[in-house]
Amino acid sequence: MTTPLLSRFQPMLGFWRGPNELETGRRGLMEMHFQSHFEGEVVQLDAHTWDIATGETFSAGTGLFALGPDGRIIENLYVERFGFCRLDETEDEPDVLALRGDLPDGFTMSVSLRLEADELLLTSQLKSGVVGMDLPRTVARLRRYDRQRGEGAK
Amino acid sequence: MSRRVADYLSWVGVWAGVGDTQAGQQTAIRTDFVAGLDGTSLQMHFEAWDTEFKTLYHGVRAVLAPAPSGVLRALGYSTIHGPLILELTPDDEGVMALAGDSRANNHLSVTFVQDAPGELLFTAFWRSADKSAQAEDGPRMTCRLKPATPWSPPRA
Amino acid sequence: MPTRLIKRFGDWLGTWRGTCEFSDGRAGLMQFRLTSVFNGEAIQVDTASYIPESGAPMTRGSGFFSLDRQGRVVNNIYADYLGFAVLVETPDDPEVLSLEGGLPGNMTLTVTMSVANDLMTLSSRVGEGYKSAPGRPRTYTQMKRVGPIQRPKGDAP
Repeated sequence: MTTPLLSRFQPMLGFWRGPNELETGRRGLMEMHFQSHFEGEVVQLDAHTWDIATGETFSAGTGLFALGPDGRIIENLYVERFGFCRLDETEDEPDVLALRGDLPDGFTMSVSLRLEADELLLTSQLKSGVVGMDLPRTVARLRRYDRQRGEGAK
Repeated sequence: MSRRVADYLSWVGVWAGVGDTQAGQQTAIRTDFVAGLDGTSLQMHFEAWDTEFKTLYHGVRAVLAPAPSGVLRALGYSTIHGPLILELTPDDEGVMALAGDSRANNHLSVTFVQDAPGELLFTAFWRSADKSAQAEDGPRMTCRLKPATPWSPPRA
Repeated sequence: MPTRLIKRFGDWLGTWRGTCEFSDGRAGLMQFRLTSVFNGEAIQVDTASYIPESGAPMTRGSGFFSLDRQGRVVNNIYADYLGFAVLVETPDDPEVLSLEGGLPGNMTLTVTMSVANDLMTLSSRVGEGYKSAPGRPRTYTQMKRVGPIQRPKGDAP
């Protein structure tokens, strides 16, 4: 059985991993895990980024995606670096999930997710509202590793 | 017919129901299937309680995964039998039939059958090593499990 | 009241990550997650190693620690490149957990684990038959606990 929410997220469910660069310029390896709960009423995203050399985690967050009364996606998000916020779906191309919301410190966060073949492209940006204070856009290109033995496997 | 982990990933989620233990008591069962090891394994958390949720009759955690040869087995821990490795026996689509011996030589059999959409028939039994002659049709734990569906208000 | 298992391994619970060198010389990033299950009756161990730059999986595995009647650790394990095995504790120093068990094909797996100063050290070796040859290369990893994120000044936006 599918729900309107699951019909949007079904291709993303599972485990994804790939290089990520934060707005600070720090590079790492990002892992994302999408899973649905309560018969597809909510989709949970757990994301971590760790240092490639040491394995030390330097970014972590969890988001819960649900549908609002108008059929648009709402994400309740916790990111360790920013705290709690709510992102609302904004208009974009049909194959893009774009979300935007306000952070506690006055920044606005915009996030976009696009699935291209077996690659998930995640970008995010923090904007301050003050000209010239926008932070660089972060980009993560993630591949799913749950449909095959990875190329590194013996 | 040999099966793959992917054949069972549609079971991911929480399933629950009320059934009977092998000893004949009523039991409330909750089992949670989760994709593990990057989705290449199916992790299972199984609990059988008395219907007032005061006593955990039996708890099992297990990981169904492919051996390098491709055959599926389940690694497990049972609150009754301790560490386990169970073989997945070939069966029809929609059936997960696991069997094996505990370290104390108790024989265990666990089966989930998806006999209708949104319904799993769970059956399990174990017999001690000194009762090897006991017939396979002896008492067993049985329960019809349904996906834990959120309550919604009745529609007029 | 913690179980005997938790009294001994409670400090090991959590997530650990660090560099790993496999017996064939490849380097990777190893992750261990130890979770108490059924009120400390068993500890579930989930492991994964990745190619550090891409995240492509190298190995994956799971296992359960429990105690037998003699108080020895029994570790039934699954690893995608080894298959299934039951390892039993062998005598070693008190702070070290040494395990050994048979693998398919007349092979023996030995594993040694210890935690000191929040650093988990793990080495394992697959040997042939009943006499595991001491000269064979080992897989060796040292992992730090993945704890609360320590953010240097100026790192946060």
